[in-house]
Amino acid sequence: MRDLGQIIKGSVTVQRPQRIHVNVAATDLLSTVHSLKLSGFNQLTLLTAVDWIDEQQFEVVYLLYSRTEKVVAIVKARIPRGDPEVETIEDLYPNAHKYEVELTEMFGIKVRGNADSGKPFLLENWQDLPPMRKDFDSIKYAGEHYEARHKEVTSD
Amino acid sequence: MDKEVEQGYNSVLESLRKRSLFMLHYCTGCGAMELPPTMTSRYDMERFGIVPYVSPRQSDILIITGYVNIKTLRRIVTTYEQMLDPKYVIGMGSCTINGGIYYDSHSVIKKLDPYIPVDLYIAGCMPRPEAIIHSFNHLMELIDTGKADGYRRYKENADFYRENQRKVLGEWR
Amino acid sequence: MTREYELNIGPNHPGIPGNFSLHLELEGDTIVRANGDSGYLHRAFEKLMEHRLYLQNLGLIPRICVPEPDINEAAYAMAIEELMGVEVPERAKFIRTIILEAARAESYLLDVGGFAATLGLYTLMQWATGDRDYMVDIFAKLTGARIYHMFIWPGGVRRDVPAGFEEDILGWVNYMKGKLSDYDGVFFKNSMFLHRSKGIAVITREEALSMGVTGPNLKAVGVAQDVRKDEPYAAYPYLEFEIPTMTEGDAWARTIVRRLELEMSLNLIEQAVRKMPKGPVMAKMPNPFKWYVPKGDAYARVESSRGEYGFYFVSDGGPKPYRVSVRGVSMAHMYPLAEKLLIGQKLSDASQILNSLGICPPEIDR
Repeated sequence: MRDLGQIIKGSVTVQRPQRIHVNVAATDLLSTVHSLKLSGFNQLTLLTAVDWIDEQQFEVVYLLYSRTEKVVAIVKARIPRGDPEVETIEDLYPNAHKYEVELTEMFGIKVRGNADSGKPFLLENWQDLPPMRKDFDSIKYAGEHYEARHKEVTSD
Repeated sequence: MDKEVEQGYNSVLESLRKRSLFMLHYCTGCGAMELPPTMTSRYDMERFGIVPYVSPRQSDILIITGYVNIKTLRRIVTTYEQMLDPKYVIGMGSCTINGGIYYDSHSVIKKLDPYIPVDLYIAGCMPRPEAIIHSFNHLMELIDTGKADGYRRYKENADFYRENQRKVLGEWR
Repeated sequence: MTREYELNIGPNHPGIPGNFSLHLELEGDTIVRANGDSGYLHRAFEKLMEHRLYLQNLGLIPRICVPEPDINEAAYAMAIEELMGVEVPERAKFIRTIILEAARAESYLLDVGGFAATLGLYTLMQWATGDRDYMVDIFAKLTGARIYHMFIWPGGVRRDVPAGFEEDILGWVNYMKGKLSDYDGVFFKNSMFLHRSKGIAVITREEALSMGVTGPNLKAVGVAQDVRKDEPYAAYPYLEFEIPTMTEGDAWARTIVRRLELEMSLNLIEQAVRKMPKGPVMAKMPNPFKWYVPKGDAYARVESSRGEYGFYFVSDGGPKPYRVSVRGVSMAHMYPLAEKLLIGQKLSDASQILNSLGICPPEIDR
């Protein structure tokens, strides 16, 4: 691979062929994505987040793909869990728009610069916590809101 | 004398009705994967007179194919109320009976009965096309004997159904 | 003088591929703006998978992408094998390839049947759904179920093929090859299809490359990108094939690419059956109740009939997955791309455009 370690201010590790893992600080995230796009990683494959509740942090994950080198770069950055915010990348990658709307709806992470961040996408009239957070208990929610069948149904 | 004429007239009507049922083509869940083989030439349900149709105002059967998301439930109730009497509902798959494999999801309901009246359930995940055709035959028997009266129950217990719908869908109607 | 009005091609519509809604703003007959409305099939798989053991998830994951369930199992198995460092035996790789290619052929037949039905040519829908059903019967003999197989497990496949499987599947492949010329005569060379799809909804090369489009939609603008060639998995390193491409980028080119890929899938199944070695079908895996995957994260991707499909898997060393994120193909095809392509088209072409892009709503909603 080329010397990505020189242009990126985080740590770059290679664990298996055709994958590189890049860990950056939250303040360097946007410039890292810019640099990777200029080095040829011009397809955004996935944009998601992981909730590390024990460490009180969210980890925002960007998967970028380079068509010429055929390598997937997994870019990760940690942001604090109280009042989380990231910057939008939809001017670099147009298909990031809807992924960021889903990020706000499912995790509660606000995205600066995205006009639709905060609007509903998959849920309708949702009043509770963002559902993908680890402190939202979906079994308890389903038990309280939806009636269940408590006896066996037989038909002869 | 009038009562006998009326009963004879009703039984002729039921036996004609059961031979040309229109099914509404609304694929609400993943059980809809087994509908194309049932509708096309392999398992051909058209030989029983059952045809898929596009408009709810002119259909008789609403098949709830699989699990019901809370967003789809609102549209199902609206569609059911647009259909004209007599109308029949078939709950296909185990997700309409007890929530199935999505019992712990925050957006899937666990039981279809409190929201619209169901005449017939088909077990399976997902049921084979032969099971769907068997259930259509069973529905025709129920129509003959007068037991498929879900539409009457909906009108008589309208408050019960409205109350259950309001609990999950919020204030509407 | 034409007026502007709003129309909702709602979830109860036979022309929409699945349970999905489209809000259109029209001026006369021409579309001015289009907004998709998803969420009617949302089951929150990513949350459900965190509550279940690795073994219990095997019953849940085929239901993520309904028309082609085997790609879900393959991506899940590949992610776990990468984190655990397990090597799959050779015979299992070939069986996986046969199953994935047969599922891809089935999905193409269903797609092209649905597309022909939106154009009003119902003969092809009856033929394609009927021929697909013969393959579903072979799957029922192999795995025990018609649609949701649960056959590809981490470590290999669940069991070996039964006796007579090779004759059955080669018989189906020969039958389909003989039928392809009939399909061409009825649909692919039909002048009604050509008039209604040439020049409709053209994607430019820059648009496709910047919006994350993959699969036959990208091959129709001339870019030969395929996960089976870029990062070969299962038995693809041992098989010979060429990626078909076209250059026009309209609905006609996308359908013709799918037709060429269908033929390529049949050839791949034949090669895989002839080259399959003997041996075990499952590597040594731990006891399901004591199955711990080492800490780490992995991204496993496969080529589905619509594009690149993948699972991003995070494990914290426990008995249940910590976070699984599904990369659905249709998210990139619907949200920036279809909403831009529909502007300027006529209302009666709207459902045909969505079907030609191969949009599958369960992949967006998960």
